[in-house]
Amino acid sequence: MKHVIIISFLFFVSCEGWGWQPVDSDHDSTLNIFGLIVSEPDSSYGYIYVHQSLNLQDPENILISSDTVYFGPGPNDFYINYEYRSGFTVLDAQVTISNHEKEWVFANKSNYDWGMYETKYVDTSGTFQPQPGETYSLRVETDDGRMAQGSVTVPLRPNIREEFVQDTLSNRTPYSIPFDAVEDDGTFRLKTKAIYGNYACGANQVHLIADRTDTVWTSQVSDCSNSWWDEGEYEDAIQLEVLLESMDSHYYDYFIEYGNKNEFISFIMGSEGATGRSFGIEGGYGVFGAIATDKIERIFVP
Amino acid sequence: MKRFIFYIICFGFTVPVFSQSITGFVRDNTNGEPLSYANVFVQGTSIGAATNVDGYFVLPKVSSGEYNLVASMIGFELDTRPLKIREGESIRIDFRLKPAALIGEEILVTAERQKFREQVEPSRIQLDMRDIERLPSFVEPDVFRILRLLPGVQTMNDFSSALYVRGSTPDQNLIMMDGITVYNPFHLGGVFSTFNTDAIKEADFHAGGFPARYGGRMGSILNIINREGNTEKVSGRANMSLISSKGMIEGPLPGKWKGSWMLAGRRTYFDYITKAMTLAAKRESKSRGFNNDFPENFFPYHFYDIEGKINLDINENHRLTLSSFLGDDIYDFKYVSFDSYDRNNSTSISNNEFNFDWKWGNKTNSLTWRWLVSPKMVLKTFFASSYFRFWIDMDDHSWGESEDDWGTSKWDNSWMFDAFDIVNDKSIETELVYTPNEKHTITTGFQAKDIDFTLGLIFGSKWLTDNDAIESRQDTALWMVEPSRELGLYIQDKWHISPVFSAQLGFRLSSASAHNQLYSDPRIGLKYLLDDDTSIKFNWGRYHQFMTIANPQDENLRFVDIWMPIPKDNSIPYSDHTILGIEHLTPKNILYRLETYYKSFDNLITLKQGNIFSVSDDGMLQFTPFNDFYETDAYAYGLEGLIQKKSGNLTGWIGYTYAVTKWKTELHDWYPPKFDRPHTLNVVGDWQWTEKTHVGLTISYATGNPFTEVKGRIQNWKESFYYTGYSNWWPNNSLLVGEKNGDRFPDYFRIDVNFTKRKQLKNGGFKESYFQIINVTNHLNALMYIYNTNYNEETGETLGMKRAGVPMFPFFPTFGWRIHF
Repeated sequence: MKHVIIISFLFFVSCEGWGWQPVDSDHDSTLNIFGLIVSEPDSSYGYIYVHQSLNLQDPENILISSDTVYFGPGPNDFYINYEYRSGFTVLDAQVTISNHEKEWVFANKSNYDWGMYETKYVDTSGTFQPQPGETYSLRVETDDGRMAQGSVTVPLRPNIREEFVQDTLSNRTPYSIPFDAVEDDGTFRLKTKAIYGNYACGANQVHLIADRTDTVWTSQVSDCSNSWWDEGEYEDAIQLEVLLESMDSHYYDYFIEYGNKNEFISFIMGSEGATGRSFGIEGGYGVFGAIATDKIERIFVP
Repeated sequence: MKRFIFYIICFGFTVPVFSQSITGFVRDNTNGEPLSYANVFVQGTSIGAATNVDGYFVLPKVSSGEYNLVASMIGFELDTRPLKIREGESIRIDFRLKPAALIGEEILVTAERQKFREQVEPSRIQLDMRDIERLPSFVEPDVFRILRLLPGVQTMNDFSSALYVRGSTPDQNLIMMDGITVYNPFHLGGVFSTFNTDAIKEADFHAGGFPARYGGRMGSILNIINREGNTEKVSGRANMSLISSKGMIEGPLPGKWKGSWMLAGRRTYFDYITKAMTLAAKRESKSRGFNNDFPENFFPYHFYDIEGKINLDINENHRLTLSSFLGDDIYDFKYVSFDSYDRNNSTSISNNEFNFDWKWGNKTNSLTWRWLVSPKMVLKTFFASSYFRFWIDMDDHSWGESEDDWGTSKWDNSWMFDAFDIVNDKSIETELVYTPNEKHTITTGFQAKDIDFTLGLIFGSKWLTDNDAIESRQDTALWMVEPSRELGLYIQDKWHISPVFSAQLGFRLSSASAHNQLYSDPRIGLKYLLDDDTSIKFNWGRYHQFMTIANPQDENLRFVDIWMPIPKDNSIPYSDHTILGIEHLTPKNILYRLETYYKSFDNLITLKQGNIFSVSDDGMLQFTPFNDFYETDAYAYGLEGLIQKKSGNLTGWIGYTYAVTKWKTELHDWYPPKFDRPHTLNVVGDWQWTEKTHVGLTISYATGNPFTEVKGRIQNWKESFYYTGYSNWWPNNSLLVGEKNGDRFPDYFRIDVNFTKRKQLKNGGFKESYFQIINVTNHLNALMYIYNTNYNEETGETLGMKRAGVPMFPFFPTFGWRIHF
């Protein structure tokens, strides 16, 4: 018995000191840009998120204020509302976009959402109207001397051959969306989606058009017999938007070619990660991509 | 091909036997077990041979005259028989050696020296039961855990005994039990091997440069040879450890039958322990007034294995051996709940049944016919089946009804999930060993394997509709049925060119049905004796492999191997081994071995690992394909040193390995794979302290395994639109990592000790009690690091990251008993 006690004691004592330890790293914080230029038939815009990578010892969120909120008459009927900003976000960047004629200075604009301020850089002059086929250059500089730049060419606007698309589409039978063949390096993706907040089973579909010689997309008939929406609630015809996107290679590579691929995984109890990718960005991580779209609307009968 | 086989067999049967020869078997006198690698030699001459795994020896060309024939074997007394051999006569002499204490240095030196002279293959080690039982082990003796202490062999971590040999991954090892391929020779995700040490006679391990009779793998060979059974009396052994009880019983065949049988089994008792704990928790909960639903058992896991063998000696020249093995790991979780409600005109009854049934294991059967065609010719034909299956069966069923003011409603819903991987291997092999004269031993044979691989993932559901009808749906997410037929034909000559120079020249021709091509594997072994004590060995060989496993290369823990044939679109991988070594056996029977090797790998493939689930181009959730691989360039080289002492009060070895392995894929430039450890030092010793007491010790030091260092954090943007219908982009926190496997864990260090005390029994048997401590110094050997965010608990503000090393085996004492009767 004496031996059992001694062994048990040794066993439990010996496991001490194997817990969590603070960790740091010597990584140089690097700018991480998400810049997107979108050219739609009825609107064109662009915005830039300027983020940075963090060291292991850096905080992910930084407390900027706290407020006591009372919700009742009792002395304990309150909670403290904390507001943070993301440690990843860079607020002091000078962001400019230019083409061969003009330069736009983007300014940061913050939104408060779910306890966190989200900041992106946008054109406040109202004159930034990116055009298909046009090349735009991005330059991001920060006060501490970091700089990233890149350029992207907005793909040519794709063209849905609207005259050949039926007026009323349905999930029950396949329907076809013809379009013109791709004429530049863009990759096409066709999306259908219910608009105005409606829902119908089979309305939302996405298809990547991998073969650039394709000129028609045919919808898939979805099995809606087991739809988790209550039967009868969404039987009315709805408005359907058919969107044909042309993506430039930066956008395609970042979000589709490598978007779901992790370079590093650790099967159980581990984590996943990547070495940091950049497409269309020099001097930092991230992507500077562009999309040009064409869209039509149709009636969709579930 | 058929004609070739025909010629080989005809050649074997028609070669005349003109010269006089001496043949026979060497067996253990106490139980009739054949003694492999025993040495039989004609005293005063250079004529001698070692027995094969069946204990059979051939001295093919002995001049007529009178001699003393000597049989010796480590651990047994020398046996000398006078004999007279006449012109053209063939004599058969069977030896039965009596066991001796391991202190007869003279006997041992003779035995070891003969073996030292005979073996041409480099990188080969044979371990017997004594080696396996005496050394410290985790909870109970395990052959794989001893093998990992040899130079060139390593395991990824303490929790896995899967072997990485000279830059080869575990799927590149051919692991056999009595010659039958075993596909997943592990229990409990690799913590224990499938092989019950009570049933093992010896383990024959080739770290590289293996002969032509072995094919289909490009790494190493491990053949576990089970006991044949006691031909003299019924005897046995039993062992009880903290996790399992096991036993073995053996004896002669009854009545007039000549032969033996052996039956061994093992079962763990995790499930009984956890069931008792669950019941105690349930009682405690009830006594405190809680009425929680408990499953019958929180962790209903156990494994078992049963193996049996029957040897039937039909006559002096024919023997049939039937061998079977069945081993399973079983996790069978059940949870049943019932709930009722009756209040305020509202009633409800609901039931739920959940089952999680997970089984994986092997089942093998073989029938071997051994025919001594002539004294110089042994023909072995072997029929075998090996079945491995891994099966997860999960189902959930809930049903009930409720009634309230709004009316009555009923429900009856269920879902199921099945995942499985099945390998069904049926083999036939024939091997002919012909010893025409003292210079040549020719081995030839063919092997045919018919292997079916089945991989599947199935989802299903059933539900009760409003019309009280049952509707169901079943989706097969993955269904791969891949049959593969492998053929192999080989010939090998062990040629004693001169008293100091030997060669082993082999050639293997093989094919796999999915790849319409013949693959040739030449294998060359050369051995030169510098003097009686020192030899130089050189070996070069090519090794093709026709199957692979689809497991991610970065996984830390591996529960099962997912086997599949090399996909049709990929070329068959192969490896070339080049080995140069020098061996020196001192008069005191201490072996010094230094070997260097270089292995190239061509057409190697590694699984494209990634998220288990991904979204297809059509926006559908899908499984990452299991058969999508990166073409991988690889090489490995190293230097290994071994000092081994097999006799005296102190036995054991010191092994040092310097090893480099590098891989390259389209994603990553040359990098060390996760199992790479440049420096490994193992000191293994067993000291007979007193007549009754042994002390075993192992000290392991190794460079830490590589891992991909986390350097920081970054937000990657993801796009989503599938369900909302609107595109949006959102930042996803991700770790920012450095170069692939660019950093290493701290060095691995572990000391294990074992104390064994023996007490003799009156019937000639003995009982032993053992006590052992794993990781005496409680050194933290990290399996991996996990990361988490440090928070200010009051404000929720983050304070950077924290990291914890997940430890491998901590300080862990165990004990047990075994009895031999």
